[in-house]
Amino acid sequence: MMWSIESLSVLISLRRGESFRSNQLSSIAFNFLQSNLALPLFSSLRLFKSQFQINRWELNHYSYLLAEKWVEEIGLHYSYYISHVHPPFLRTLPSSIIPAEYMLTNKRFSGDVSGVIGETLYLAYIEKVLGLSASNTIHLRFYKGVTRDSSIISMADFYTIPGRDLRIDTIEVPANSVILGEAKACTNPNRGDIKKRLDKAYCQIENASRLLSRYGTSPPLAIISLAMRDFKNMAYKLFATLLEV
Amino acid sequence: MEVSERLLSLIKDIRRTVIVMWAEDYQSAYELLERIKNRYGDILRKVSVLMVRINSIEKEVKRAVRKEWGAERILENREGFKEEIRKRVYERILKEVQYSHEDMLTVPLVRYVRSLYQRVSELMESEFSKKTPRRNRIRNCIFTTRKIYERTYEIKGYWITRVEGVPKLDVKLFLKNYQFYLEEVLSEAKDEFKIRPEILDVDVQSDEKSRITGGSLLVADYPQIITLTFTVDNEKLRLRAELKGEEKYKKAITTLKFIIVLGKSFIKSLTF
Repeated sequence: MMWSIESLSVLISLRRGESFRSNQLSSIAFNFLQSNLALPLFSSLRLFKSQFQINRWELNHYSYLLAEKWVEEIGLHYSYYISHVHPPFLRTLPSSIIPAEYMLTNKRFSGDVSGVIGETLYLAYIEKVLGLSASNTIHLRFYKGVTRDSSIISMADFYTIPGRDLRIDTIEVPANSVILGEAKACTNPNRGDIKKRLDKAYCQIENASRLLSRYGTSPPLAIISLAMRDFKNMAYKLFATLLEV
Repeated sequence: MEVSERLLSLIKDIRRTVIVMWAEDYQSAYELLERIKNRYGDILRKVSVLMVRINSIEKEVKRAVRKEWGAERILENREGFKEEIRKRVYERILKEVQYSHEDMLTVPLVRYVRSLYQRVSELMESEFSKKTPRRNRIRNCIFTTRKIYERTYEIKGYWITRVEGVPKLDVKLFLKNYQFYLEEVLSEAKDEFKIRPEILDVDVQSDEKSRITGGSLLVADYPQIITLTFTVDNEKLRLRAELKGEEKYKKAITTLKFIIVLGKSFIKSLTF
């Protein structure tokens, strides 16, 4: 079984004074999800669309080593998550006496599984779209805090080292530099959810890049990826923001 | 900005250790971590000092903000409390601490190395080390075998020197290798068995970009049936073997030896 993943990449050069506008970006991401991508008038954003293929084995393989949570057979989970099958829901009591959250028959999509799908799609994206290598990537999830409390200041989840010079539009990434990456996922995406996740990811990247660019030598590229479940089309779509920092 | 050779090399060594640990070869992981500690001692020491300084700033700021805000205000606005700490910690780091771009990149790595070292050394010193899987070697690959449940086993391995190209599986060669290694372990008892394996089903896919090959094989060596599912790339391999039907060779060899035969046969049938 082979799945096709549509991705939309937005290039933002913070170095050249462009800014990360999460309102605008979340709108673009949501429209992309709705297959209704129309750029705002006079937008100077640079975008490129691409598509890559992934199969069950690859999803499993990416998750073994580089996903934070241990979820076996993520390819199988993926096929459930994109299918029209809902988690089991049995309407046993047609009353308002028992709140829905206390009915154990109301299964929900797991945030952990969704997170692993987000991370595996990020890895597939950097390999298949950007030409980077997952084998030159490490996942720092638990160790990424600069301070003892990682919620105060932290680096991004992933460090990737490009083996060769990389050029994405005007962004130039020299070989042997460190690219920061942050992967997020949404199972039931809406504009608010998307914005919240983009804001959170940007905050992490911004924190790190401000510390790193103290002497004007920042990492050249940071990637924020957001995997969004496209329930209507039985697929996931990937919205990636490439930040020249 | 490019980072120094030494930092790149540290990142690569950590990455290598993670693979080795994933493959449950804890002895090698311990050796790798010892080597990291020795080889990058200067970096680790320098960054440890930086971490101590940053942590003490964080502690001082937390104490001060807590005092200023009071418990009630903190409870009312926990996010704001954290944001205030973040802001002040930033300012103080930028103002008071001397560090380089690389030092800051290395902070999470040092934390990673420490955590890995603690886990692996605990494992090495404890009785548990006797229960960790034994490692085997075939050609360029070190692999371990583990029983998962009932008659399902897992083989996890890594390449000693990194391989290039897309991994390919030669199914005919797999049958040949299987026969060869089985005869080898059965030694004098080999004439008691008719070793005639055949492939009932193959489903293998490779991707040129990710360089991952995965799929499944259904192998029959009647009355034994074996389902193999696998993924392989330039760093590692994972093979799951599910045994069905009668265990044909049980009288002559243990199941674990049989699994090792499967692992060896599979690994030797891969080309890059």
